Amino acid sequence: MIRLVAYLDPGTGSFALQAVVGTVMGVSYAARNRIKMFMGRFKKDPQTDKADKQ
Amino acid sequence: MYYEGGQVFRRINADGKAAFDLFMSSGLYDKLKSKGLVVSHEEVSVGGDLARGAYKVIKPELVPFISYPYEWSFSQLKDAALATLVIQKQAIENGMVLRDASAYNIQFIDGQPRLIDTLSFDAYTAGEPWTAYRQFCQHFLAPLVLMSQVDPALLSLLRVYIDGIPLPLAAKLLPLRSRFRPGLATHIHLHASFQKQHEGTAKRPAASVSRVSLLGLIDSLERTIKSLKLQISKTEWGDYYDNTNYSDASRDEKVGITAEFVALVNPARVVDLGGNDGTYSRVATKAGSYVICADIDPIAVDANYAQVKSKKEKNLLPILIDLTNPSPGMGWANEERASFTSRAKSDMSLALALIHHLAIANNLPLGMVAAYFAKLAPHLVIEFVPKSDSQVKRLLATREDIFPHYTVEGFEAAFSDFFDIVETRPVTGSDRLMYLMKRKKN
Repeated sequence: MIRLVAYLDPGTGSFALQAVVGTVMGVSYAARNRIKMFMGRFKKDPQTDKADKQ
Repeated sequence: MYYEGGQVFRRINADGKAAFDLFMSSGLYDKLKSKGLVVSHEEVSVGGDLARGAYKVIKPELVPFISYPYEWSFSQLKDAALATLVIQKQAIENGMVLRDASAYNIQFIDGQPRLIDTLSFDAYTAGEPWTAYRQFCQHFLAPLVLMSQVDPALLSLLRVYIDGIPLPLAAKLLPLRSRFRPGLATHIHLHASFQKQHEGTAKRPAASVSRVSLLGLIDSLERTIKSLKLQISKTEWGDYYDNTNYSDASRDEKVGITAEFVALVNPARVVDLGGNDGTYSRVATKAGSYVICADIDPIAVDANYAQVKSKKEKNLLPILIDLTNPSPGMGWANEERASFTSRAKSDMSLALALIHHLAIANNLPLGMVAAYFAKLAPHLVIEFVPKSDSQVKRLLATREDIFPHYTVEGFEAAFSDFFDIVETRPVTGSDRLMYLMKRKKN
């Protein structure tokens, strides 16, 4: 059941759109976050890099 | 919200107790406050009829000047939109959601967009779609896209549509190429289409949206908005101060005279009328005043706001105002949103290089201009730009001179009905005169 906020008319179409595109956007968002985390592992830690050079 | 004893209070009723308590206990308030995204408040014990029966009463931080989204430049509206999305993301992380996403919930304080409606949150329920998604698109995305893809002047549609630009209208006004941008295709065009398909539906919606999907939706909106840019970079007054008709020495002298006049009055609040990119507003902010810098040019206001951001200025608010048609009182009984004139009342107004635009370009009698300025502030710094000035010659180049009273004598006579002239200073290298005036007591 969807709780309806009293003063704001959210619009049925708006809810329906979220249900339709939400999954695609959610998958895309999760994938991008994973990629970001994965790529982050390969970025040198500036602190470690400085320590190595000393 | 209510006013008592000159202060603003907000009462939280019994039905708001759970949401408010969660807002505080979840850490959301502290997180948003630390990022400068929400107004601070203190809980107070007050008596009086208006507090009776309330669960709690809070006293929120005061907003120095209330401005409305139809008075913001492109970048101000964009930053307000992005702030709303950051707030929503943070809310979800803390187990809450924004129950509404009205642009009127954001105000510029200390140069930054900040949420002023601390009761705008509800507990997040897994599977629930975002009830404020349509409102966000109408209040923020649609005007931004129209300003970016069509014309900055379309911001004025927010004065006609007080609850944001309807998405079917926005979709119709946008060029065909907007349908090929995924963010616009989804949040404007498809959204408008879904609205049309489902209008008149009496059934309660059965949509379910997971937490990740909701975050994905917010992320998509954020990326769409970040990608929007103003296409038109040159407007009539956008680069005014690069093309003035007086020398650097004259400009420096004008700055000095303005600073001297401001120091004589020491105003807490100044409204700079036709302030362009805020050059002279900053004379007043340097002296410690809070300044509202109002100008008609969207590029100049945007440039001013960019400077406010880059220099982290806290006491200057640029806004978009056409003085010949300033924001009126709007909404129910013309009282929901106050007029610019009623909000802008200050201790001093600046009207530099402005009078000829009002009196000659816009045919306003000098007496009417003086009467309006007298409404705004008790002290006025004004620059008279005579017909011998090249800027006025340009205005009269293609029209008949029907302004016999537009002379120094005519100007002083018209303004003397409302003001006493305290000081007069010529601007060296020009025929311009700077005045400091004080409103008459009657």
